[in-house]
Amino acid sequence: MGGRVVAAQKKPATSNRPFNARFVDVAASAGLLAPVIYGGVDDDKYIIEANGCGCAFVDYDNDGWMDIFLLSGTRLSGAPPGAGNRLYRNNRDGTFTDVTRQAGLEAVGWANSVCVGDYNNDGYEDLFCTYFGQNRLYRNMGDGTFRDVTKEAGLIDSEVRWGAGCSFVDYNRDGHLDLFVSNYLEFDFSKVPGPGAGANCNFKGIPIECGPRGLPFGKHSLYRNNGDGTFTDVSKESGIGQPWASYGMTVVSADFNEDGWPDIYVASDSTPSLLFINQHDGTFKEQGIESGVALGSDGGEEAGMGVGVGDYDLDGHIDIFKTHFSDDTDVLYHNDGTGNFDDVTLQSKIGVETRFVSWGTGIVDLDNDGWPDIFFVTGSVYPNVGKLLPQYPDKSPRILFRNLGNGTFEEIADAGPGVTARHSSRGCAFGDFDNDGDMDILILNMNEPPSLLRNDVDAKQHWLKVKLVGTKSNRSAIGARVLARYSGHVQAQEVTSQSSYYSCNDSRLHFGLGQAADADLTIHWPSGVVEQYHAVKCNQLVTIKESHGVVPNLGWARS
Amino acid sequence: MRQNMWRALLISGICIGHCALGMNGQQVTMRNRPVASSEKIQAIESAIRDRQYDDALGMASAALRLTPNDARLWALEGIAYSLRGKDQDALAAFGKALKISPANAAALRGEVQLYSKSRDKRAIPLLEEILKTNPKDDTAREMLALLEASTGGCEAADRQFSLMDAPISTHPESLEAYGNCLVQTGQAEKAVPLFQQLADLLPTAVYPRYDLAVVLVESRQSEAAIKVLDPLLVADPSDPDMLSLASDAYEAVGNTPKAVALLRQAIILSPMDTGYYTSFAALCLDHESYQVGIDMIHAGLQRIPNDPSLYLSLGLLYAQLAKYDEAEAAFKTAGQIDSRQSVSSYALDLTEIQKNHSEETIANIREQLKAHPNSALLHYLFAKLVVGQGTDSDSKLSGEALQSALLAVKIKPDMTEARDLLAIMYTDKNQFGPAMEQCRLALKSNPDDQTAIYHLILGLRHSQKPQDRAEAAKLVQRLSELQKVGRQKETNRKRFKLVEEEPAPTAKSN
Repeated sequence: MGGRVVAAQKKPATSNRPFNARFVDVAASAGLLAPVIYGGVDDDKYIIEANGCGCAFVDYDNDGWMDIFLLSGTRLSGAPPGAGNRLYRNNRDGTFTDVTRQAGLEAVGWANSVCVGDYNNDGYEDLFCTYFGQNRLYRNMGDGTFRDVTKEAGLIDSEVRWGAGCSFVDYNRDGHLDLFVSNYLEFDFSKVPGPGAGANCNFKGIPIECGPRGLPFGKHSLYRNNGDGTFTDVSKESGIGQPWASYGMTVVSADFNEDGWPDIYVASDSTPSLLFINQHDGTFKEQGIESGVALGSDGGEEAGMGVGVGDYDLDGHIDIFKTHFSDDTDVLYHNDGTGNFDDVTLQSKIGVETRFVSWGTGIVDLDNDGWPDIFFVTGSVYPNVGKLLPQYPDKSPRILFRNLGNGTFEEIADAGPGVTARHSSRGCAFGDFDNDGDMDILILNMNEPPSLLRNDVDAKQHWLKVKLVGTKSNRSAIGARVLARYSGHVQAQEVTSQSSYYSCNDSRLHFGLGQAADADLTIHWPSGVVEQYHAVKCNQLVTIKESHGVVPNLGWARS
Repeated sequence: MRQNMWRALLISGICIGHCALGMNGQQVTMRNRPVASSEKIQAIESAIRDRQYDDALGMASAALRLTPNDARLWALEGIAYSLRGKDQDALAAFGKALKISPANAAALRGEVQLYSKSRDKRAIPLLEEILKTNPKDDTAREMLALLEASTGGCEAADRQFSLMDAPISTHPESLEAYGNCLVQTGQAEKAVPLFQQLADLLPTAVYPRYDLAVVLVESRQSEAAIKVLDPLLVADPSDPDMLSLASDAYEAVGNTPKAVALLRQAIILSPMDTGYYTSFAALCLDHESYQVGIDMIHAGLQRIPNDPSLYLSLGLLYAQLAKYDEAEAAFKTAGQIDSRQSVSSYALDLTEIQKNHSEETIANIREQLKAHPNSALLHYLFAKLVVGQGTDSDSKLSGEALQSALLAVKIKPDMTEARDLLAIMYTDKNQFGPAMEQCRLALKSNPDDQTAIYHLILGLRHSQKPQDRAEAAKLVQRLSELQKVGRQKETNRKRFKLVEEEPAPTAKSN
């Protein structure tokens, strides 16, 4: 959490270029009405109430329309009626239906994150949810229901752990999705003092919930998929389970050093973030500091919470954007393609914004101009502080930086009421829920219903969506890397299982193309297969099956 | 001790049976000049040894009338005058001896003795001359070291002391001077045995123990410092300096309640000393007990209303509570009270930064730099602000900032923050060589500087040399260890919260 105080950089003059995306919160009209219960409304007693949880765009019924999965927490006094995770089925008309009960996903507890992937390669996306307590693996039965298979999959923990981020990742490239779980810290209600009653329990002189500083670190876990529906804990032999000094949060797996093997990045709160580089032999080497993605530019520890990955400068390499606490800049790390990153926060002008605690995020082309933008949601972890210090409000707006295409970003003051509205948000997921060719945003708000920001982008810009289906590779194609070439640029994207904050995006990769009418695609499948597709026409979704080429889309209304 | 050493040096100029030899043993008496008989010389030497200085002077004077070009006689006359307390006559006699025989050892030593007595720097080249011909002369070397130390040449003193063969454990003045120099040159740990020896040498004196405790605290041996200080405090609990030092030591070992109690006692005993209030404020800052600190500073201000350091502390405490307006007012008051000091300007600018008024602050600093052109802090802050704005590294403003940061380290070479900033600036320009150089210089001043270590790692990763890669790996480990220690310290620090246990001392009307 907080501690650093970094001055915001001066806002440059506005470019006066129109921004062609506008966001309206349609959650209520879409039927996303249930509030996400999480901890105290006016104040928190323990840190467990503060961090909140994530959400996902997931097409659980393979109808080609993004459904919505929202995690939920509880309260110290017990869960109020109706609390619990929610699965909303997309009605394909801009509305959703709560199908949680039918789907068998009712659950109450301190849920944290969700990652999505077809761990058993049966053609249906499964869900893994982390909890304080016991994590849960939900197998998608393919009939609209899920089954909790945690126990039979061998994922029961022998002790209470605080499961935080997670990601399905085929680290050994055997075609079966393995599972990485970050564990935040060791938390025991009986041992953690109350607000203001111990070390790290005050903020600007005001008592707040204690932690994370001063509490024991969690140990991260790696589970190898045995290919038979079960997993084996390989944390120790892989090197992941070492006692890292890390309050691990969001997990993103991607091939950061472009050696063909997936690496794992763990945003860490108040500690150095971790970058586990895949050694190709079942082990990982942690190289966050050497790679330049562990610390702030002054070498200080930051409150890493959310992570967005994308290729903001169109050089074909995956960059990282990480969100932090208020009074600190978020950070943009530029990847040179070898896994060495440079902190370009100030050069990119992202450092103009330091007012709010930042969470879910993405490097996503929101206006389809061909240059990925940066979006993140905000919200305080100290609901009580805002009443005494108005400069640290509990609820705060969403922040949108448009990419100016020259290595710099510009904060957009008004991208619609959905962006300026104030909430205490945590997770967010990017996806095209209405299949209209732009990226909408699902946002999880603490103790409020979620927000669903419908993007009404100017249709003059072009776009292309790519849905990948693995055959030799894992079926979800998690870890597949797509290079899209258009208008003399090349943009890299990877299919991920988790990013943002504890959330999962639409698995269909979305490329804004600006004025380009088509794009050349190069696909690096996790299996090592590389495929090329030339002059793929714009404004369409293409579904590509590994070694089979373009195949019909599932239920896509506009194909 | 001091007198003994001077006398030893002087008497060593009387070299029975070998006075005709120079310091290297060469014959220095000119053969074509008439010289006094060895009997006369021996008689004068004997009189001096017997402390019959007037007799010695009479014999020397008589002999000089016959052989005025005998340097040995002038030297002996000088020694006799010197021991008689007639320094000017002695200097004149030594001068004549050296004019005749520039390497005359007795005259050289005599002059050295006289100059040294008054801490006159003219002794330094003479001692160097003596040591050139006889590097094993520990007496001369010790004197040279002492002279260097007393005239501010601590690095030179350190060099001379460390070249000595004989221990200085029986010379309190040398122990103290050497120890102080080591502290001044940032080698407090090395000074510990010296002050320990001094304390052993002067068992009834308090100051050697106090000094020992100071260096123990400075070298982070606080448990040992407490062992030294506790008996002193039992014997005399009314020394506020001792109480304050003990407070530092107890705080360092995590006994904050004791540290607070001792510091409160120091304030009560010496309520007009601002240092104790500001130390108390520092404790409060460390323990996030800002309001308690504010109350104490206000108590101090009732007694010492116009002290800028109290207002500075007050501002810092308010800033931690995000009460930036109050902080700003306190910093402004500090600046108004003492416009010569730049620290309040710096603090004021920091407040402005926290209020996100960076652009105005840059303009303010430009103005303040006109008033304080030699303020390393302001130069640093200016550069930091420009860098913090993400100014294009090739721009004119960035160039100005770079110059400012370089000036800051020129004015204050051990200002690690400025060196860290330079490392960041050079890294942004992909100038990894200069960046790494600044990191290494910063680490020389502060081996625990995490920013410097981090940027050194970032620089080294651009090298393909295996030794650089190996160094980077070691630095990663070092950085992780420092982070671990830092986290632990932070938690320990914050574990205790100061509460108002007793009323802060208030002003009394006498």
